[in-house]
Amino acid sequence: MKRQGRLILFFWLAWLAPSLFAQTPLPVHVLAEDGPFLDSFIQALDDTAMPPITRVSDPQHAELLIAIGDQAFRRAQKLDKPLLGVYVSRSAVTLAQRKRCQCQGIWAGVALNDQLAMLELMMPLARRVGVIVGPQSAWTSGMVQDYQGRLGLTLLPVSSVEELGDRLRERLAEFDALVLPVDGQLFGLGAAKLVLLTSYRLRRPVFGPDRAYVHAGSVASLYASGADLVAETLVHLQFFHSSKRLRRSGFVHTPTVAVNEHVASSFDMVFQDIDSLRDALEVSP
Amino acid sequence: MPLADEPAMVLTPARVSQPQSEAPASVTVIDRNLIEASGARELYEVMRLVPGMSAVKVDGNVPTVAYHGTQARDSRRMLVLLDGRSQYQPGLARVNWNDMPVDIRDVERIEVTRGPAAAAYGANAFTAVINIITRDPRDISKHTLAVQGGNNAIRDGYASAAGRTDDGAWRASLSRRADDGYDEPFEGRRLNDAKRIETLNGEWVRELDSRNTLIMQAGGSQSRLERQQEGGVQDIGIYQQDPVQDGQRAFASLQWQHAFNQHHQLQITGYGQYTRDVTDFSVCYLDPLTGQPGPGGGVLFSRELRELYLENDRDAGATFAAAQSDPDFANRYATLQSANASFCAGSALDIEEERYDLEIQDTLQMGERVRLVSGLNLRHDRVSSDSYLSGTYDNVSYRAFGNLAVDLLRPVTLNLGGYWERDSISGQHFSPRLGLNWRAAPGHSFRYVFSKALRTPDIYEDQALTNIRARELSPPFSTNTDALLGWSPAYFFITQTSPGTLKPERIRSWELGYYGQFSGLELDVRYFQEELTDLLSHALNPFEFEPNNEGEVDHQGTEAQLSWRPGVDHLLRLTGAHIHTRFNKKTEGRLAARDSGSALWAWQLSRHWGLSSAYYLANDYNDNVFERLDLQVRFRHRVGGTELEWKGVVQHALNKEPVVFEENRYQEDRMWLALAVRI
Repeated sequence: MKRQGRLILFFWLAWLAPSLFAQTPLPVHVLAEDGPFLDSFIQALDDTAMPPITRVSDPQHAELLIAIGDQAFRRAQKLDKPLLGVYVSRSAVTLAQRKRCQCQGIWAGVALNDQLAMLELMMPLARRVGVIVGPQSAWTSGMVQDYQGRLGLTLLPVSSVEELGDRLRERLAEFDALVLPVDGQLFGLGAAKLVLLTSYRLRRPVFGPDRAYVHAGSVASLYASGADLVAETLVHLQFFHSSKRLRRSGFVHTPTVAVNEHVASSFDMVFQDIDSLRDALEVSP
Repeated sequence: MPLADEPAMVLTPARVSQPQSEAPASVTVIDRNLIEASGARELYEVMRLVPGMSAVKVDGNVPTVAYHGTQARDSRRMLVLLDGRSQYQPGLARVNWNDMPVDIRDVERIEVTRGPAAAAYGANAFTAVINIITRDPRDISKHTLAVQGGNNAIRDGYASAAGRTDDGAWRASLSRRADDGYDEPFEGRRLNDAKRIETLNGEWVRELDSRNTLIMQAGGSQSRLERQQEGGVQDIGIYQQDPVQDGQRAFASLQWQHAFNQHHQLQITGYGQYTRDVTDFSVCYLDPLTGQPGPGGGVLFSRELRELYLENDRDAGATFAAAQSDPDFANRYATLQSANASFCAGSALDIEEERYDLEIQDTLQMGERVRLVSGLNLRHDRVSSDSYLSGTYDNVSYRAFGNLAVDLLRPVTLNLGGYWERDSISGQHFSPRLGLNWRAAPGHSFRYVFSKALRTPDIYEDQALTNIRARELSPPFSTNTDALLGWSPAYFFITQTSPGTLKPERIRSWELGYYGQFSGLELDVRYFQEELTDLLSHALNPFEFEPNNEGEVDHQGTEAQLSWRPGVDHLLRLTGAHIHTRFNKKTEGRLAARDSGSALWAWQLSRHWGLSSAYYLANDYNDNVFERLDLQVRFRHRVGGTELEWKGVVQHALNKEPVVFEENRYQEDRMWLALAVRI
């Protein structure tokens, strides 16, 4: 799946390349909290040849603003310029669009269908899957209810970390597995211990929201890595460069896979190491 | 995550948390969802969902649960653990399923290791190990109140509470269950097999810090079981009061789990258990010369007949033949006639058992490829019984064990295990096991397992000295015992003594197995051969006592279990076993069914309604085919924050054959309604 995504991205860029080379560089300004991710993100943008961009330090000289994270995204809205949010919560983008901002976003997290496709590969026995969703989660209740695949999803709305424990104790045993969306408020590392220990005691694997959860003991996760976000940003930049319009908001199309091999083995997953899982994901529809 | 906090698909086979595909045994897991879908009222009933397992009430209300069943009445060849505590009782080598201090609603999951597992658990993990794991209080959020009632005097109740503290959680439950046993009347009379059982079970988990956890458990049970009349007693007397068994159980355990680091964990567990069973009955004894009730019945409890019995090598027939020409016996008989009243006496079969067990277990992950579990165990068993042992006996055992799992190559796992033990009765023994698991493709694995195990003689088998005392004598025997019977207190003339030379029973087993996962489908198949030797096959009760190791049994067969979820709302679970059993003593074949199986279908019709049905077959037990169909309908709904569950269950026998023995008739459907409230 990831390889397919990269191929699509490659052909997309190749198709656009001739017209891009003929055009002037796109002036962009990047807003983010200081940190290592910002540095590496900027470095990756600077290193890319496609599309041609010029990074400008004054946002007023930029044609497009790129804001990384919710805080920067909210700050950038005040500048009243075309704005692309990167790794922003879906709710922040929706709220901004309601205020008629000229903005779109690359949502934090990955598509629910992608995460479930990986779950199906690893757990062919699974049929009943619980999905916990909070007000700020990357997935909405509607996304869960609209799922059309083979799995039976049960939506577990949770509004706070305090409620999370009770909900897990009441319902987790009903499911074959649990899937968590990216949600900075609900699934911080503090909650990870509660979720994972409960899941271990009840022998129900958790497909967590990101690599940190996998490291903490979640069985596996598809997540948006820094490289994935850069690649997705470039797709948006190409689109904007060629059409002067912002591409529609969405998740990254080529997420990265993370597996906790020890936990995957303990749960008797069909694919227990990252290489075999990656291979399997690449050939999956 | 420390090892203690790691997920474990199966814990039981080698004490190592490991996936089923790497376990050195066939494993059946029955979780809470499956228990609920089965509609079972009592814990032993869900064992029918295990391929090759016999689970029937053989003696009225007393269940026998046996893997690859042999003898009908004795479930002494399988180890049952309840949260790690052995339920195998040392006095009479039995597992008492009625009185186990736990309710079926307290159970989170049951792991059944099919095949000998003495390499992990020591002697008596002979044919299989059943590991019953109760609910962790940290995973309970509601209090529950449940009642159920139905025909056959089914009257059950259950109450449980749970709570959390700053550093832990607790739960406690109280339950009662009662019914009238098999159908009545049997041969025109009431069948004495009703029961009433109360249990108490509690647990407190305290997380001292991120590395240390304390788990405390305590509980008990009390029971009143009506027991059926003994054939041997019926031959010599008329029951005035049917046997009634009163039982009490109590236990307390403390476990400390300490994580040195992510790869090294120590667990120390200590527990004590107390069991007391007394079976009271009262009989008017027949005069051996007239065959009628009368004072002459007293000779059966006379000193002279006991002496004759001992002089005639404990042969009852020879004793009575000799009595006809014995002047002392004649005098005693004449003396008794002066009493001019029937001789009636009450008796009690009593046994008290205590166990104190201390175990240290160390789990070490060495790199990615090697995991070692090792430990030491010290156990003290004490049994007191006037009727079975005429005193108190102790058995102290010392044990050491180790189980090593090594990923030789990426798809091949080697499991090596061994258990050394030394006890006061049987000396020292070693039980080994070798397992080889090959993950041929993702989701598909094959295994080969070879193991040896033994069952050591219990304290009664080794030290039996039976003495059935006449208590509560009828007048004038009660006031003039010494003069009328020749001794006081007076004992039944038959007494049995164990030679003390019985050897342990042995089993040697190998299996080839396959475990696979397909889309929505899980399959486990095994072919096995088992040789059981040195078996104690004959009756060893106060009336019949033939202590020898002459029994032999061979099992050879195939078992399969399949779980299939064709859709989200359906579960189909099938199990089957086809076993060829050869035996040299008839008693060893009573519970050996050639074909047995189960089919369970659960359908979640809607958010509120659920339907499940189960079919069970055993062909046959003691020439009788067991075939039953169960149906359960459930309705769940919420009223405010309270969850209510209504349930109706029907158990329908599909044939008119008795269950194992003639008196166990089950022709009328059992049905009950239940309501559970969770707050």
